[in-house]
Amino acid sequence: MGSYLLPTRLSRRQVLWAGILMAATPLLAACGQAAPATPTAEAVKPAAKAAPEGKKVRLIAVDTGDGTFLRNALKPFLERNPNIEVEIVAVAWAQYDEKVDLLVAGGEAPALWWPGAKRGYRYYAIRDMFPDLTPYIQRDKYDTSDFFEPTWKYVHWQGKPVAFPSQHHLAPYIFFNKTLFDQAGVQYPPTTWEDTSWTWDRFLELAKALTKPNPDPTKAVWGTSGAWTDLRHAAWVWGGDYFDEKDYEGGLPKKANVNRPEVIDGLQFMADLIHKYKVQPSPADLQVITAGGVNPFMVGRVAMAPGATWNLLQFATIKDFQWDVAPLPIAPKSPIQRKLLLYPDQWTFFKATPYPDQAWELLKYMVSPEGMTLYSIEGRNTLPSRKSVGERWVSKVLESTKLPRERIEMVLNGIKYSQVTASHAIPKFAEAHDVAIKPPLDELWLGKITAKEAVARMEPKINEILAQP
Amino acid sequence: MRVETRVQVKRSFLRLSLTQREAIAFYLFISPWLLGFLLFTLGPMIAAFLLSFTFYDVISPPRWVWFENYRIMFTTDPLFWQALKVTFIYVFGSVPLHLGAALFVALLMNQPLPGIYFFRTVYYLPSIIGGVPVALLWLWIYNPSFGIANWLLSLVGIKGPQWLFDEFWIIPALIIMGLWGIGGAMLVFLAALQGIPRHLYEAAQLDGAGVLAQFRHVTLPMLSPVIFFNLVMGIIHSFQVFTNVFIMTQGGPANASLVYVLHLYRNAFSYFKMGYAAALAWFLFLVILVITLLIIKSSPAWVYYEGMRGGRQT
Repeated sequence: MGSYLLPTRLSRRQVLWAGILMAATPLLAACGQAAPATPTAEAVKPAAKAAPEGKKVRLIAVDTGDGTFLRNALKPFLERNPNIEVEIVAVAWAQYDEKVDLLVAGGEAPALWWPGAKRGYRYYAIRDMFPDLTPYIQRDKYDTSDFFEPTWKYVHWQGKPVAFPSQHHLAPYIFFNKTLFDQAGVQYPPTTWEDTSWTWDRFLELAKALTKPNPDPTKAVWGTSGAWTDLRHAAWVWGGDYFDEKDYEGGLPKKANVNRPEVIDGLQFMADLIHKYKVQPSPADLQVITAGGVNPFMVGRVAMAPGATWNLLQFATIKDFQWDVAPLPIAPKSPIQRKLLLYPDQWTFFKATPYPDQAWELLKYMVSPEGMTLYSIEGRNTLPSRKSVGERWVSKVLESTKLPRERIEMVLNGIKYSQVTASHAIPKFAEAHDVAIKPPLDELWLGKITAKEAVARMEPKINEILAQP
Repeated sequence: MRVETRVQVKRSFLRLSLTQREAIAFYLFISPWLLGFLLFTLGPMIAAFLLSFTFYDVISPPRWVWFENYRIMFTTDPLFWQALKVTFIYVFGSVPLHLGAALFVALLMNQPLPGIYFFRTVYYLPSIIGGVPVALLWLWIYNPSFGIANWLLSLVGIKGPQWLFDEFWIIPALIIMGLWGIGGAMLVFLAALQGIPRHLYEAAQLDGAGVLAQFRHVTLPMLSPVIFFNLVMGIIHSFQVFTNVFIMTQGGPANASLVYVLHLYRNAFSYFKMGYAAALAWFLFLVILVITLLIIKSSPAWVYYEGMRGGRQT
């Protein structure tokens, strides 16, 4: 032991230095902490175990939020299966995907999973972590014809079903403020899918007639809010698409095909609503209008707001004006008349879950009419993916919105015109969007470049990302 | 004091010398931090360094790829250079401005005026509130048609820019916003100002120095260790700028505010490329290290410690 261990006198300089050192390190450490020290290879191996005789089998289920919806939905199942115990791991949306990863890496792969946050099921399917359900379906002669076609098709990965459809969202529909229409003396838009007069030109005409400009953007009446439910897919609703149909099944396109007239015209139309026709607030104005979480449609400043199925029950609370809902206008240039965005959810279990047979029973229950009603309709107020359960959703929405029944059925039937979103079908779309798509679109919405330029800028970068391993 | 401790040394049954006892005390006192550092910082840092040579998505085992992440970073990642550029502009814009502003406010707060304690509190107050609420507040301030920033500019006849929606103004906007947090640096400056002995000013006055000359030849040299400290801290913090950008712009418009740590964060927690994110983190660490070392190298020329200049006796 010697005095070399300790400087005889700490100078101011040394004290300052200690502070600097302490400030410098947390970032690097944070990056390393995200990784468990020893990633387990065995976690990805199927580890089927026979259920121990007379002992309770413990299954892990994950859910976002506080887990109440799942707890309520599981009650009948647990009563009928006294030998099964389900531990619900409920996580906030923002941490959901990470939590699932940590469970998988820690050897506790969930026996019940749904795409509760940013990731679709394909993220795990690519990594071969979900089971091929075909043997189970054949063994139990399980009937899958009740699922809505597009949702059932989507759960197939490389031709094999690896999950079951549970619930879905559809967007956009045009929600309209009847009171503003009446004040402007303008006729309401058509409210059936069959009415072919409902075009984007008609939409624009109405928007122009309904807009009442004001230097204060919060006092103006806007023809449309442009609070598009999902700006990532702005081109789709005009019939445009960055990908080909087979890419949606395969999920792993090597290149995108953005440079098409229906994409360019669609994006240009959306930008023109802001800058040329001035029927929609600019991004800056929109920020003012929506400050504090205000929904511009709900405060009566917007005549026609593109919205999603989840808006129905939200708008049911509106008291100051009458509103109704119209379909998406017809796409003018696409070979397909309408391309509604379909956001499908599923239930499934991880291959590596310890008791796959019990997990299969749990899965069957969750996607049964009973489980689906309890979780998706009673719990999450979401469209069920079984046709036979659709009526229950219609009744529930009918009760709270007081809209005509045929209108809610029109919304439910939107799935016929829908296509699974690129963000769900193509796992790399999230990165392609952040890196390649959003920056030029930002400039387009600001009126700095044209849609043609935006498309020219994004295409090579999207392809760069898609080409990466 | 010294005498008393020596007495205790004699009583010590372990017969440790004073320096040994002091060494033990030192390590005991520092151990909470040291243990925390070793367990929660150094370990993960080493793990991150090793991960930076792998492809790793958390759920699959990491795959060793040598320098592939670094190759991608320097050659194919379209946003790496953009993120680096944006961050450098931010750092070199914000650090001098914040340092100057903090010093200026500290000089004002050092005046012997009635009620000065109140003003000191007021100017320090914003530093207590940070993170998300402040970002939300500044969203309002910068609003092009409504915000107080453009309203103030309109009073002097200037039509304000679009701030957060303008590729040119977004970084200046973030730099100005950073002034919100100068309270910490101001406090350090203020403490140092109070520690400058009066007699140095008196001597300077006798030599006929004016206010500016006193500032130049007494205040600045006496403050130089603290300027040095605030400079290095400011650079370290500025390179890690994240929250405001994450809340206010998400890197937009058109990646004009894509700061380095946001790019890193997205790779780690949006795309789950943990190996690549670790490589990005280590590169940032090296950048900060090199710049810090350069500042240290330069410090003997301009940093004065009592009786020493740049660590050398004068």
